[in-house]
Amino acid sequence: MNQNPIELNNGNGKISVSAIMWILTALLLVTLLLSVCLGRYPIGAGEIFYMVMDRLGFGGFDGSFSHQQELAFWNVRMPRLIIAFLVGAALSVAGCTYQTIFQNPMASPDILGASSGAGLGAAVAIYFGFSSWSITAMAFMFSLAAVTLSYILSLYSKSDRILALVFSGIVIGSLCKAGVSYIKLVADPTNQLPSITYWLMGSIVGAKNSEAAFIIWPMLIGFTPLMLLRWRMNILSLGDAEAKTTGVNAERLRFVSLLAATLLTAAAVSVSGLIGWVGLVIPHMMRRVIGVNLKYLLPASFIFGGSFMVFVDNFSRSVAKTEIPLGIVTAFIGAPIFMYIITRRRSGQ
Amino acid sequence: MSIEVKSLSYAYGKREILNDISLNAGEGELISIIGKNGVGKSTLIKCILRLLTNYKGEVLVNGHNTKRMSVMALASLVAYIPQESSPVFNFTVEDIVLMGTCPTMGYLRSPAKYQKELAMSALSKLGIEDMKNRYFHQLSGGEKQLVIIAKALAQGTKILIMDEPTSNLDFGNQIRILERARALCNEGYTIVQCTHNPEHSYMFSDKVIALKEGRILSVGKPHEVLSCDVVSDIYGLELCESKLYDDKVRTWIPKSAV
Repeated sequence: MNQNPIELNNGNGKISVSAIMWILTALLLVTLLLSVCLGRYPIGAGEIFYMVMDRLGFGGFDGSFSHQQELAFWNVRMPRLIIAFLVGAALSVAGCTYQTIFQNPMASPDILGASSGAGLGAAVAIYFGFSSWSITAMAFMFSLAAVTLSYILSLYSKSDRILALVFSGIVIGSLCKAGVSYIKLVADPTNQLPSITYWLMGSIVGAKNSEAAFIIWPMLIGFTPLMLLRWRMNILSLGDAEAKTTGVNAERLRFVSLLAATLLTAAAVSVSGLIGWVGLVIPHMMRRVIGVNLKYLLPASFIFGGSFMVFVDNFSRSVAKTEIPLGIVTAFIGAPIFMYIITRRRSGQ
Repeated sequence: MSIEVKSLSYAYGKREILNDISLNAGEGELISIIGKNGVGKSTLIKCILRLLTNYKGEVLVNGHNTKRMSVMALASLVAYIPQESSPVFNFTVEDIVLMGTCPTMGYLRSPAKYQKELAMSALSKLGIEDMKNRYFHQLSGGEKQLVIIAKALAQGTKILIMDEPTSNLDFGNQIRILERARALCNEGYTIVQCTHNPEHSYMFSDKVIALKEGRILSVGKPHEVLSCDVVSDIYGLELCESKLYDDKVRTWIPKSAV
């Protein structure tokens, strides 16, 4: 028990919780700064400052940075940074939420078929030769549609509500995967098949400002209710009977949280493709660091999930000549971390 | 503070579970519902808590029909203590008890100083303040049940509904929980519990309701209801009865054993 960092929270509770939040925030800022500075066109912290000031309308910084740096900063690194952060934060917060409402620490954001649905949407869009913007839009809509179908299907089930959702999620998820396989089979093997495969591996290469602008709204709509209701969501993890008799309208709260978490997941996977492990592992890591209370766990997962994704993105674009798809990197990092977490004797899960 | 059940009937499909059940629990009363497995005790508890709603009849709390109350309003009047509480995630004791203060807060709020005071006073009422920072999963069965009772007290209700609160506990913890329950009633709390132990319900209750085949077999003071005939009838056993300590304690022994 001694080596468990959660011990920090004992005794003088809130002080160390806020200390942890500050450390996480500092970590985020360092990661963000590094990721704008690193790359083919090196940009210094001072130049970033001048560029931001220049955009904000303060004159007199013209000679302080090159045009190439400006383009790399505003059109390549910033959208990529924003998208990486939002995707990581969204998947982690959604994972945390799903784990709570399903009362299952193994739940991840694709439990209701959100990822498989997005995969099918993207595959269909690529097959019909849609533009890259439409691929994102199709992935988003198919993702929402898959979760909606799972939800509706679960209403017809006679078994326990939560179990019914999990079952119908499995059904819809594997149907979508079958759909993807079929499209891969009939797709043109020289250019469609590789782009479908690459999309499914998860990548934010070529992230654009327009994509960042597209996902920011569903993300805001998703994050807001979860952040506002996060303390109350704790009570759902006691089960429906206890939640209701404690004053929580369990069905309604679960529905709202499910909707919000699904929006987050759909928005994330629609721009990034399938990125596994983040939604499962980040909440578990944060539970060890800051405890299980969603009041702190959800913001911590938001910050750390975002930082983690930005870090992974930096790693994947600097470690090799060709970029490694993010989904592969998250799996290589996520699986060992998860193994470590579940094999340790523990108290905070 | 009172809770009243008026001719409540419940059927699951065509199968009748409860038929014309009435009960009345006034302030400071501890009421035990006894009956064999599957007789409908838990169903009755669920109807009282409005976890089941498609029953006939009425459940009144302080004279008001529970069907017309909001979830929040009902939770601020009636609290539930299950047989066993097993949250998936390992909350601290304080976190769990603070969850009980939910009915005292607006929808988007989280516990502030006032709620922390409510939680602390609930813990100290049960004498377990020192457990505040411990983790729920690391507690023993008896300690967990005390924490869940503290959570119920933090709800600020005066009516506690317990579904076999002691059936997972060892002998010592069973007695300790029932003594705590008795002490709470003496302070003015109203408790309705269902139980598998007629001896305990004889010792600790003000009123006993014996159920058989979904109906009330007998209702009244423990010494009236818990006769050898009724207990034998409920459980389908041949028993003989011993009255001990001026009939403060009754015990029933299977005839085959003596």
